[in-house]
Amino acid sequence: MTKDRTHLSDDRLLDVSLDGACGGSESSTAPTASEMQHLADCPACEARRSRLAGLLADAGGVVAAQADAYFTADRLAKQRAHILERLEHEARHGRVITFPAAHGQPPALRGRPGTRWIAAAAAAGLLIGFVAEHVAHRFPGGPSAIALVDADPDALQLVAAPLSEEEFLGRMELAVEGTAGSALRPLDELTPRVWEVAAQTR
Amino acid sequence: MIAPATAPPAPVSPNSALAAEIKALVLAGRRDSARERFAELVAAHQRRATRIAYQYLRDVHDVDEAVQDAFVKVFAHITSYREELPFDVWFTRILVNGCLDLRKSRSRRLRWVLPTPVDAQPPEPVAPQPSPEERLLASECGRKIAGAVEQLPERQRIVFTMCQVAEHTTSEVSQALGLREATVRVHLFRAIRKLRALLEHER
Repeated sequence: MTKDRTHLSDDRLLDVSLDGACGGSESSTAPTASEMQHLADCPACEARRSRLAGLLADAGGVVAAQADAYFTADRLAKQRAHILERLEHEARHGRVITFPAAHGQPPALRGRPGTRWIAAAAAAGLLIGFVAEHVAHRFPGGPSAIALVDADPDALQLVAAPLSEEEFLGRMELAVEGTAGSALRPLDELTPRVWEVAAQTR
Repeated sequence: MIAPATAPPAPVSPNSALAAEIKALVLAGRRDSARERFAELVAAHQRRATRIAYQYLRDVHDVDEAVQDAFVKVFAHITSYREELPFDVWFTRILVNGCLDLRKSRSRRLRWVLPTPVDAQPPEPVAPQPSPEERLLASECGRKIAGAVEQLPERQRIVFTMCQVAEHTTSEVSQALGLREATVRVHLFRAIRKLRALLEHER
């Protein structure tokens, strides 16, 4: 009976197993000397512990195998080579001294063919801006001038500044989630997504 | 995004010492030597990194991209590495933030941009024989365990992976994920209890 009372609870058994596996021997949950002694003396608790350790090892093995099944030694070597190539490539780029400093950052759209349309939209926006400015100067009291003065500066910036694809999509999401977007949400729900249309046309 | 966590002082591991050496080489302008030494660091962390990234992204191409980006980012910012922080923790934090960014960008892309046609993807070479990992995953026991792991909430699955697979301590996981250590332990306990409940009657 005395022995039964000192059996380790499930939680303590977990603590003991984790402190062994996770290297937390100095933590407050580390097994005490008497608990370790009990584990050594009690076959039932030792069996429970080894069953738990087996489960942890099996689950850990499967979780590792999920990635390892694809990332074989060959693929890891290729990945390593790619990483080192990229580092070398960036080092070569790093030697170019740009001037003035403000324009030294690489254009965000470089190397992404799928985002050329964003550059085209930005260029078109810029053109529209120039035309609007021209019209505003020509008819200073006209509605175009008022529209320009009242326009949201953020919106103008959105049109004029070249945005990376990530920034552009981020702004679209912010606009959709904003209060002004709520009125348009039913329309948005009715509008098919590009991937839905693509799936239908395939 | 994970907020930076304050790190307690830790004994310098071989990886941290190597990272400090690479930092010194970069600061001395010896970038070629630094890159050579960095290759060793990559080799030491690659497998662990792919396992962690896989739990976030579940797509091998994204995992590859995230791991590559994390290493490139680490080298680009090696001069800001603080030796008192274990390199493993610093690297894992960069990797995890990268995975979260990639996942966010993937969901945006799915919503707004036409996906790349499947034909454009390079075909996967077929392995001549299933690897031991593939055999394990294909076995009945492996499938059951994988199914049970899939049922874990993401946070629990990731904490479990970091502790049991990547062999981080709960303290390191708490620093890498920006969580309290007690919270990490709670997630880990819950993950193991759930796995046990799902699997123990099978054993």
